[in-house]
Amino acid sequence: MLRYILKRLVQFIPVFFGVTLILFMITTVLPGDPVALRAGEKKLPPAVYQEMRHAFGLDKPWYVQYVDYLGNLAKGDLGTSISSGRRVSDIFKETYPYTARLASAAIIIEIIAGIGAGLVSALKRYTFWDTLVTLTTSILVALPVFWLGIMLQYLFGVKLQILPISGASSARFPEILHLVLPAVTLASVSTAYAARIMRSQLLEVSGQDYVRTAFAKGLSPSRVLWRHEMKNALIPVVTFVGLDFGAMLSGAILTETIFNWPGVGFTIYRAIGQRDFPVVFGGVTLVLIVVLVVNLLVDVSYAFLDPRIRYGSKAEG
Amino acid sequence: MAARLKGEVVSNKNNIDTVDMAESHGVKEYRSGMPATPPSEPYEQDAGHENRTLWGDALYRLRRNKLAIIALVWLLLVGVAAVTADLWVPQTFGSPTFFDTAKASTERFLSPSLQHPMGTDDFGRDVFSRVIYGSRVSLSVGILAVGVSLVIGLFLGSISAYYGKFLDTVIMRIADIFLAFPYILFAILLLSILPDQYRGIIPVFLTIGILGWPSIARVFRSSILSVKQNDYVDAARALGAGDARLMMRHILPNAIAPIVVYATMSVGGAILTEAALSFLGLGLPPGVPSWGAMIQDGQEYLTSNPGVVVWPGLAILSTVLAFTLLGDGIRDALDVKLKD
Amino acid sequence: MSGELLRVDDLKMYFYTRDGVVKAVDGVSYTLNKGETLGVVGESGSGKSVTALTMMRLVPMPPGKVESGDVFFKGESILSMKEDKIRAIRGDRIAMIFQDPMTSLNPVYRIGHQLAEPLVIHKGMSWKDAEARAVELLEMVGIPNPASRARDYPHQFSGGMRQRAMIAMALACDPDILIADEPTTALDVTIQAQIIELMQELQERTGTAIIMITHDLGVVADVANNVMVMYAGRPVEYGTTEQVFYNPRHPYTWGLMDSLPRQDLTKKGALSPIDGQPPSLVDVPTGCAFHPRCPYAKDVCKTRNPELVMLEKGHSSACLFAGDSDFVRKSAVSTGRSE
Repeated sequence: MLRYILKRLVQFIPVFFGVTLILFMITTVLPGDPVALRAGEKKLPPAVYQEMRHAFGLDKPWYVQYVDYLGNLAKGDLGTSISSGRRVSDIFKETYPYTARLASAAIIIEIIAGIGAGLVSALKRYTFWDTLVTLTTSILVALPVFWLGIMLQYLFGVKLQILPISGASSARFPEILHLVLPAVTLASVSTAYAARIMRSQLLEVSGQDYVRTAFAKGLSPSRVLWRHEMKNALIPVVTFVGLDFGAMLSGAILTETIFNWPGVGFTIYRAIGQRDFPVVFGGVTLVLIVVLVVNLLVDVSYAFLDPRIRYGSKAEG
Repeated sequence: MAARLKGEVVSNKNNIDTVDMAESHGVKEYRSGMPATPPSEPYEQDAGHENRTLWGDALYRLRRNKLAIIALVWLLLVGVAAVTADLWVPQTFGSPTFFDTAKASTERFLSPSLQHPMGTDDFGRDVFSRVIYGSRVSLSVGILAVGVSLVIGLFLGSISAYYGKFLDTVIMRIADIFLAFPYILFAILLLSILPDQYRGIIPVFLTIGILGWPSIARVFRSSILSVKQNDYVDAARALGAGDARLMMRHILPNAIAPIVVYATMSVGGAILTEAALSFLGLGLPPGVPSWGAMIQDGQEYLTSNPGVVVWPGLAILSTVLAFTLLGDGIRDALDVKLKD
Repeated sequence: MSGELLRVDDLKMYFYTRDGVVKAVDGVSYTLNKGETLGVVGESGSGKSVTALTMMRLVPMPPGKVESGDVFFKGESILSMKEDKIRAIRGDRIAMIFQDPMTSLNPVYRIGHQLAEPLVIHKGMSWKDAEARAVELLEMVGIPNPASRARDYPHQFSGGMRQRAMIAMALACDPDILIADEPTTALDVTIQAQIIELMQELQERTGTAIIMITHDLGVVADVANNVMVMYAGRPVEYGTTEQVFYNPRHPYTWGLMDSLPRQDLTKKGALSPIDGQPPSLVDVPTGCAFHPRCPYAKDVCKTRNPELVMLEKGHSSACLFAGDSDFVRKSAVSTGRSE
């Protein structure tokens, strides 16, 4: 197992550097002149221009800049917002908790609804429930999440007027209700995938020989299902949910934007509109690092879930 | 095998035991969570059907898959409408972009009628016309993006699989890096830096395409590797086939199959991504009708004419669903051969 | 009748599928007494495994359906039992092991746990006691370091060890009958012999009756008291091992014996397999199921389905001519003993 974890860590490192390098290139080299970008629309006299270049470290060779960049990242320095003048890291310190809350709520929905639906549809194969789940998941997977969000807003917010459709809190509704629509929207597509994976895994597992053995041992159907089948079938599902959580923590720009949910995604979106590039780049960087770390954790946790990975083969005799 | 020496007469297709007996005679398992497709008949009973090639058989099986056929027909319909739009849409329903400021106020938000089957938007433009023109964007971006991914992915995937060792590791690491980026975020990043004058269809499908190559490379590579290991490759080699012939005649045709499935379904994904980007205002320049942008614009006017949001959404849904079902159907059609 | 554990009475079980009716078990009858070993022989698709699964009620009943007949365990009808009764019998009184030990063990549970499970469920033991007993069982089947091995996972065992573990698991509750479905097919030749030996040893010790399902005549000759040869879901010959091996009276049995490569042949020649293929069970030939491949077939064989006819005490054959004294085996290969 240790070997597996080490292998994963070793694979992680070049990926991490690759990702940060690309980010670095995009955020500093590609947009043309970073100074002009940061300065906005103003025209600068040459002397000031040179000074700014020096202040930004732009007259150093690119690899030195990259190292500086990494150093800044390590310190948590993501630059300063053009429009508000605040430190980017402060901005995100404020907004990240909202994204985290939304992601957590969505994941809970995904786990309960996704695994539940997949389970039901596999157990009651070929019946009405199975067809319903299969149909619903197919549609959910094909529809644009943001459209779903808008439709839900319309239905529950405008027509029925029972749920809030904007922001994280308001006078009219308790805070928890504000979470409902955004979380459901965010969870929707993922839940569909989770349900499918659960279903197909369960179906595959139930055809396995060891299930036959379990019945031959005289075990009851519920014991066979929960102790033998589910324990195997859940492994890929758990992995998927874990990775999905990472993806949700990446800000869910679309969902947050529709519902004016003050999280990371919404902040990045607004910054794009305002051409506030430090915020955009800072936000994307932050999110990417979070996703990378979560993916690594999920990868490693897989070793704990599957004994075949945890212990290599030690067959003798 | 030791068992053969002891007198077991080896039988072929009917070599079944226990409950598998039932399965080989048609009590088939549905393996995936995809929409139920009508199961294929057992091989022996395709009487009177001569074609024994992989693709011929697959086509035959595909034709009998009702859902996939509906999907295909729908896509063809949309495609034809998109291509021929200039010939009949503006004339019958109105221009998708041009609006007459004089008439705009009176024509706004008309309810659906024969003249305007989906009503009009806030500028008095016919929604149906815009949806049709929007399909051009979506279909072309979708297909072109997957095209880009295929070109890069197939190339890198095949050299990775064929040459192995160091080249393989390097390419796969780079793929990992690309895969580490959350799709949308990366596209947003790239497109947000783009100055307005360069906006158009090209950056959009290029961006989406560049994001898609690692998955295709991976699928292709693993497909090649698993085919390479198959016994029939060794058999061909033993019969004297050289490397190139091996590649062309034996490995590639079989390795290509999962790619066809994956590519078809990816078009759906690309369309969704384009819609999302347009929704965020990062896709095509404003004014060009695109489903995502229409939804964004229509948000404010949801109460006046929900159609402005509903119809483009349904358009996306139906088109993506069609690609998914088609991909499913192709996968099932090729499946008997793909199954090891 | 005392000591009679199992009686199968003209059992017929068919699968109803989209493509037709699969006559998987088509009139099987036999008895099994305490301490006996019955060898069930046949090619793949002969229905030998399905019969056992039907007896354990492990066959999903749509699409399967018991057409007629019954199975009696210690006098009680298994097929009419309530679900919880049969569950109490499975694993406890009648145990079954399967062909591929790798896939037949749950990969995410330790071996010790899986062995202990039937003890906990059927004997009401505590997990602690059950796992301790599991270690003893592992030792009994010849696994070195049983205490530490019990904490291993199936993928850490070799094929032979896994099958031993399966046997241990099956014998955990000291069952009356052990059904072994092709227990050695998936193993190396050298290991096969070990496993068979192990089973014989254990049978001597515990007195368990064994049903040995295999296509391997060598194994049957070794361990079985009685043999039942099956073809196309039907028994074609039944008798003691001596009777069936030294005086086979069915063309299919002759064919099976002849297709064995033999080292003690005085006349060396080509291998002689049986012509043709076993029939699809949806489309069983009329009359005698074997007639299309039978070198002795006559017209009447196409129309009459032969029943098992007693030839001598305990020995029956389902060939219309089995009883005729001038019905002689044409092949040159004899048992090699009388020459």
